[in-house]
Amino acid sequence: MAALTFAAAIWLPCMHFIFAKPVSNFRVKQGLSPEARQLAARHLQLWTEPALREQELNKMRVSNAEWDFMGRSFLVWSLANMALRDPASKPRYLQTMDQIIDETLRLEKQEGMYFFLMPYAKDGPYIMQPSRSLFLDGEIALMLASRRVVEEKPEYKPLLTERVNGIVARFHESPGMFLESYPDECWMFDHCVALDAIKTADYLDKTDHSKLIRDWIAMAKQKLVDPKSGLLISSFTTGGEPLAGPEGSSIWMVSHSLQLLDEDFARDQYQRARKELGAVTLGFGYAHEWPEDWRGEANIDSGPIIPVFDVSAGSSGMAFIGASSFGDDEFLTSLATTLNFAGFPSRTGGRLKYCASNQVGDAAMLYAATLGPLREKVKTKTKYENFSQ
Amino acid sequence: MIQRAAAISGLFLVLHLAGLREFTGILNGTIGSLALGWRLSAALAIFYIVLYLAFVILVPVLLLAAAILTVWQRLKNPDEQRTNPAPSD
Repeated sequence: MAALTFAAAIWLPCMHFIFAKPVSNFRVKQGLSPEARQLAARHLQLWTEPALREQELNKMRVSNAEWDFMGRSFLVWSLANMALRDPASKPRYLQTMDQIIDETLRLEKQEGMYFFLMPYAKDGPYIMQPSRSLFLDGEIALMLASRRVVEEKPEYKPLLTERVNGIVARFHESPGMFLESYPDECWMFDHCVALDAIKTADYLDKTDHSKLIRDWIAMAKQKLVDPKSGLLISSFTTGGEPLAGPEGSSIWMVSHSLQLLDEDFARDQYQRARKELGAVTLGFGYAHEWPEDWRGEANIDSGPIIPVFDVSAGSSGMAFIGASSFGDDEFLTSLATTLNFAGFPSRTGGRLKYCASNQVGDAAMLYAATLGPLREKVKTKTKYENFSQ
Repeated sequence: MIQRAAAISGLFLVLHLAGLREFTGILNGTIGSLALGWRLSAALAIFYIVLYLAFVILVPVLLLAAAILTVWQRLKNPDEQRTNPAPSD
């Protein structure tokens, strides 16, 4: 028994070395990391082999139709960044982006917005009429905008303008600037993504919604921050009443989205999330879903909560996006170590997928591994400067 | 201990080669196989995950413990090692 205890005391602190890889394996400043290339190869395969794609999407839709939609969004945003990182492959990436966008718009038109929402969306009427989901409008707008940042596509310009004008009109119509994703249910994640889309549309089409964005952030700081942790809450009613407190499955992406809108506030939110939700044990990084002073129940966003360490699969996955956005290489490396240990990677023919994940999870990983160039372009250049290159 | 480590490794290898890694999507709430359904997919996933954890955590501990015991025995009874050398081929 003493020998076993001694052996465990030697092995457990060393175990992470087996799974640790340099951060450059996951994310590089220029070009594409090996991990990004392999993840992308798998996703591109899904979009060239319809039978395989249908199989993967159906497995996700059994649990959550949202994942089908979000997997598309994360992949399009990733491909936009990849096209900027790897110009030689831009035509292929653009082709896949267009394929995803066109199919998503077709499904939305053909099946209605409920196709990509969870069933409870039909349980009651939306407060604001006509019914719209900011979840869909924001992500679709950001897909269209991202594609156009990489390379203009005239057919998408009116589609983006229409989508953005609709969101802006509803922001003006809502007394508290709270827009629904589900009936009387508003999500911080969706608001931040939608505001990113508006900001990117401003960059593309020389419009100016800076006052709307400033006003919304000022409102959020005042009304949507959990007083104990200082973190933005995840969901609220159309009256601004909290439905859920701060959540890891939301705040990492929120802090990333805020980077385009208010850099200082974004960094503040990331640092708070890192302190409240991030954890590293024996070299393995992971994230909790809730801060210590706010407990919730495991749900479709958090994923199953692994006891003892209180690990949330959803929060840990999204933490990659936060850590990558803010250049937190130490945390990113420890998260990637955990992913190699417990994500059950499967590599075949230069393609990588994580078996413990799914298409949306892998697409979020790909986004974390590639994000950067698209935002930098929107943040630092005007469209005029861009054209003059 | 070495026999136990070998048994765990062997069993894990069988499950791995049988493709049970594909079922670990249960960790994020995704069904492993629509054809097999939730219950069987979850059972296969749990079986694989337990064996995997045993393989990466327990097997090295067992092997290290066996090595530690061997070294300990040799340090404790140096005369016995000298008078009874291991048979050579």
